[in-house]
Amino acid sequence: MNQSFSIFFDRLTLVAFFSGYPIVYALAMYLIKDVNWKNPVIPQSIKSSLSLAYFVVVLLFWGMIIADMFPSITFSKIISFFKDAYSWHKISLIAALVLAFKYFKARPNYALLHSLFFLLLLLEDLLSMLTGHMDKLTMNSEFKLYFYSILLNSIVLLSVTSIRVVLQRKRLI
Amino acid sequence: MKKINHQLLLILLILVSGYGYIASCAHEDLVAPAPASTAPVIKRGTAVHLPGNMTAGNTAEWKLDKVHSNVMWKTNYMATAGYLTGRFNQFGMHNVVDAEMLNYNTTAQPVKDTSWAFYEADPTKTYFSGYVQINTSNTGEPGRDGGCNLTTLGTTAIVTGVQNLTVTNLAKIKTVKVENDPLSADYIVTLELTWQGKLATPLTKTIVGKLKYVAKTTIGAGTASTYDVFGLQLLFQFNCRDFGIASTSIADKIDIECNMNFNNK
Repeated sequence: MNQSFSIFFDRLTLVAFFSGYPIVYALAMYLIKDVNWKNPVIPQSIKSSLSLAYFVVVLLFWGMIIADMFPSITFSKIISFFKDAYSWHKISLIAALVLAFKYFKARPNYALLHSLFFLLLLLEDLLSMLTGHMDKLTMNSEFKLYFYSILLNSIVLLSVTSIRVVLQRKRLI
Repeated sequence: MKKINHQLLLILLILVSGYGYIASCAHEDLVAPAPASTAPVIKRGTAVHLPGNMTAGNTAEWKLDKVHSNVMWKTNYMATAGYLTGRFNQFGMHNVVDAEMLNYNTTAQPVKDTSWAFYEADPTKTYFSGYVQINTSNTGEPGRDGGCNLTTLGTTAIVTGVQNLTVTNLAKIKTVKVENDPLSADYIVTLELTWQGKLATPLTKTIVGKLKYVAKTTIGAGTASTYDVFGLQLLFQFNCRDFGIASTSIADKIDIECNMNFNNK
């Protein structure tokens, strides 16, 4: 019972951090492409902030994991963290750290593709609910986490974009 | 193409998210879980133990195992210091009536220990009576036990081979009511303590005590000499000043602990 609960908790954590990104990305791209901006700096900043925002969310996730393990971070603890559940998802989150590099910063589609991996977890559970393998209350709670994820990703994107706009105005970047 | 893709993606995600949220709505008011109860979980069995005629070999009849039982007292020395303790060497579970308050020339139990019954599930049927011979108080100090203790407690010295159940040497208890303790599997006992002490005539005081049942266990299971045992523990307290005991070497309050063991040999 304890192990299945911790596996479910891991799943919810991944959904809570990353599943909201695709809809934030889609909304951002809609704002960039379909809205007439007086100041072209803002849509440009949004586009160039998308990857970075996702990278910040990845950092927040790893920060939470390290904070949980602290102060007794041992090699065996790290190994068991990856072995426990959703190993590939967790390993991919290490790979996501490359999104900070210039090549990926300019190509936010990679961040979208990466986040779809986690949105699939939510969709899988939705399908389980529709086929009767999961109860509605659990799904309802999971969707609440999904909306918190949308909120988190939106706030991070907004913050990163704002910082970029400010720094661009000061001609620092 | 890209424009359509992003719009399509946005619409798709909004639709899926909205559908998922609406579909997972239970359309029911959440029923709050029942509040956790802080009441203790008490489990009582259905054991019934009766003395009958205490016939040896009759496993349905329970006999007081006096040798493995005890009645102990304790009180604060000088009312403020540590405990002064002792035990009564002679005691029994019999409702000693006036006609039985005599000296008995025997070293065995002078009267049958049959004034009791125990019903674990129905304390209204449970009752017991008991007595102690005051002059058998044993503190481990013979000088006290055979000296000042006797005068303090208003009794006389032990006569070898005689069980003294006379009115000046007898303190007895008798249950008035036995009921379940709401906070544990024990029982609350209302009993009458009758003792003359240093008074002119015996006084009866109503006291509330606690009875604990130590569940039946089998000794030597599978052997030819197997038998069962169970225990009853009674705790109560009384004020010795009520019975005219004036000694300042002891406190007002005397704690009594009776540990009675029974077997069905």
